[in-house]
Amino acid sequence: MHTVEVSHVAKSFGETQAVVDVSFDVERGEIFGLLGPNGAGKTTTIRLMLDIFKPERGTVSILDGPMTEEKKERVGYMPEERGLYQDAPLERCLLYLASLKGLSGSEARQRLGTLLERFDLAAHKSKKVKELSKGMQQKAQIINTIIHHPELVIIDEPFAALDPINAQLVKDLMRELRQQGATILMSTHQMHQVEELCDRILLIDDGKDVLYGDLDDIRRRFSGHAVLVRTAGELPTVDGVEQAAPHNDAIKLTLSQGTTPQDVLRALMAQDVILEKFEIATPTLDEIFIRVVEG
Amino acid sequence: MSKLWLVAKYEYVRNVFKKSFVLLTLSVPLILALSVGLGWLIDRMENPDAPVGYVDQAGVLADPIAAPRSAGSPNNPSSSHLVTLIPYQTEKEAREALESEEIQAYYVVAADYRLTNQVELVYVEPPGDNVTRQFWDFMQINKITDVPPDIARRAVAGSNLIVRWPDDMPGGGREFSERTFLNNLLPFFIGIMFIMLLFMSSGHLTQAVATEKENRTMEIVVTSISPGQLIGGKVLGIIAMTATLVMAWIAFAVLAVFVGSRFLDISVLKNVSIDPRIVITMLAIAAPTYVMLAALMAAGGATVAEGQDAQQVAGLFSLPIVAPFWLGVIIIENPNSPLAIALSLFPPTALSTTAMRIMSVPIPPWQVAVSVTLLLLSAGGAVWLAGRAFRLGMLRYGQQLNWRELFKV
Repeated sequence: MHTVEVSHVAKSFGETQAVVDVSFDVERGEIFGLLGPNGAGKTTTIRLMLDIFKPERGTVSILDGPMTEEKKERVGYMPEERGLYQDAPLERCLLYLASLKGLSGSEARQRLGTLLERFDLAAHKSKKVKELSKGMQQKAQIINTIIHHPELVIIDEPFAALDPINAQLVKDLMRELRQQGATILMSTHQMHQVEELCDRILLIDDGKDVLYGDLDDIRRRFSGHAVLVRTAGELPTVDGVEQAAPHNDAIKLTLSQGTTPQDVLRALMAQDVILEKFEIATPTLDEIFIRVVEG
Repeated sequence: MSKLWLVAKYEYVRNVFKKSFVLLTLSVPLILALSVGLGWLIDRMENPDAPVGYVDQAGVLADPIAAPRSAGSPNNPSSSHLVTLIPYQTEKEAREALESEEIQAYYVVAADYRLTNQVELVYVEPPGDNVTRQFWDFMQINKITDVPPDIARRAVAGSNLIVRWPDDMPGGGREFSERTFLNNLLPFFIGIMFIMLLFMSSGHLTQAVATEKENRTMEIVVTSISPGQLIGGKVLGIIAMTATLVMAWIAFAVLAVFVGSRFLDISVLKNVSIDPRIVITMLAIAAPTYVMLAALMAAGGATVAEGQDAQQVAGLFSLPIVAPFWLGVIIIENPNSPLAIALSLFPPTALSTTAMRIMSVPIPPWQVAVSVTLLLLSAGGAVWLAGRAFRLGMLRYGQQLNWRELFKV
């Protein structure tokens, strides 16, 4: 059974069709990446999942059924539009939001203490939220998202405004949550974070899903279009190579349509080139993203 | 605990422990107390208690009858305090007493007073109005020498006019007189207090909703609780805050009446009583008015981009509440005119118009019933509108919601 099942949902706002036709599932215990260019419909899709908006078509199932008031306590959500009560002391703000998630006062206080220590915010708990830096507020927001031990965590741009140290903290936290059995859906533009963390992804463009599935499968699907070559001497010209560019300690040869890596290897062997390295280049998610979006 | 109560509790604590709330709770009673106290002090300073002398050269005060208890009508609630009148045989004795400050002034009743009515007042500092009124009454009462003293006092004191509605008339049994004039003003004060509280608390509600948008917390909150629980909790929290303010002010008022009547001898406070029918009528109209205004304020708060804009919205909705006061003179002078009745029935103006009318006339129960019914319907409509505005506008960060969109089907 999937934690999230979204089936052919659509949503428009006036003349604008924000989501045209999106379908995907998120399996229990995985980290799922929701990707797409700006305005693709990621945030609207998330809001449809959380019942903030109603879809015009299609169905959404969260934790084995439609969203209910009770299920809201089992879901943690960090929206892209960050928000905490700016004039409230940090501790009071987080305790209040935790209580809305069904935690008792004592439970919330105990968990909050642990999390504030972990995120290095304990010394700032009495300060007003507006007195904290953007990064601190981001961490506070993360605390708010997970304090109630949700089964499903939805985070929109989790690494925005975080320095590398705090970004690592968040990554470790996400891995920890997954180990504890939570399901995480992450929407982000930072492809290297997706590559590091996500099991499966959905790429949306213009309100439609254009790429969906296991990350390794997707990479494999898009590989074969480039090879990494290192030769003893100078690399000769080879037919069927669109572009040659330095890539770390080798040369990356981007192949033209119809040319396979085997063709390039045969061509190099025919020229008696002494090869030190010949490897099929796996495209980065960035490259795949650009290729898919720009067609 | 239901999440609605969690929101209510948070909203209550957030507002009640603010410095501005504490200042508001204390400032109004303190300002009133200062005003009343200052007035009392000035009255005392302008009307000192030192005796006043008189020299009766005409012999009209040989066997004087004391003046009535109060200067004027025996039921005059604004009676000033009395001074002792001391007779002197000669003007020389009176002057010596004045110079030695035994008396504050003295009157000289001229020898030909019976013909000329001439009375001279001699003073170093002008005496207060109470002295003048008291001596005037004293002279008047002692002109009527051929009737018993008590009749003479009643003749000088004048009549006490009481207007009373028949008991069998709707709203009857009420009485208007000089003695009860403060009671007659009480409904107006109650109405004003409700209106003030309406503005304060409804303004808070507008801010409360707009603040969720400004703080960008709306999305987190509505994924924790339903919009209905959020709005309901905020309304409850603000009602509780308002109730705290009302209780504090009532406590101060009771204390003021107690202190004023017992220790400061302010006689107008000794006759304070409140007709429960008036309180019930005002409450029956104020409650749905509050819900209607609160819902409209919430709708307004959901349409604006920032908290500051919310104040402008609050001001806009307060106009119809205040407008009847511009016609106050007309309404009070003609409380049963078609205009006054119509404004009592029209929901936005019902509360303030009723507060003014009820001072002068008892309001027929059918008018109260119609007014309350229309208010309840309006409140229902406003709540629907608020829900719609909230759903449409809650995630429009930094954007205003167009009122046309709000009413679009």
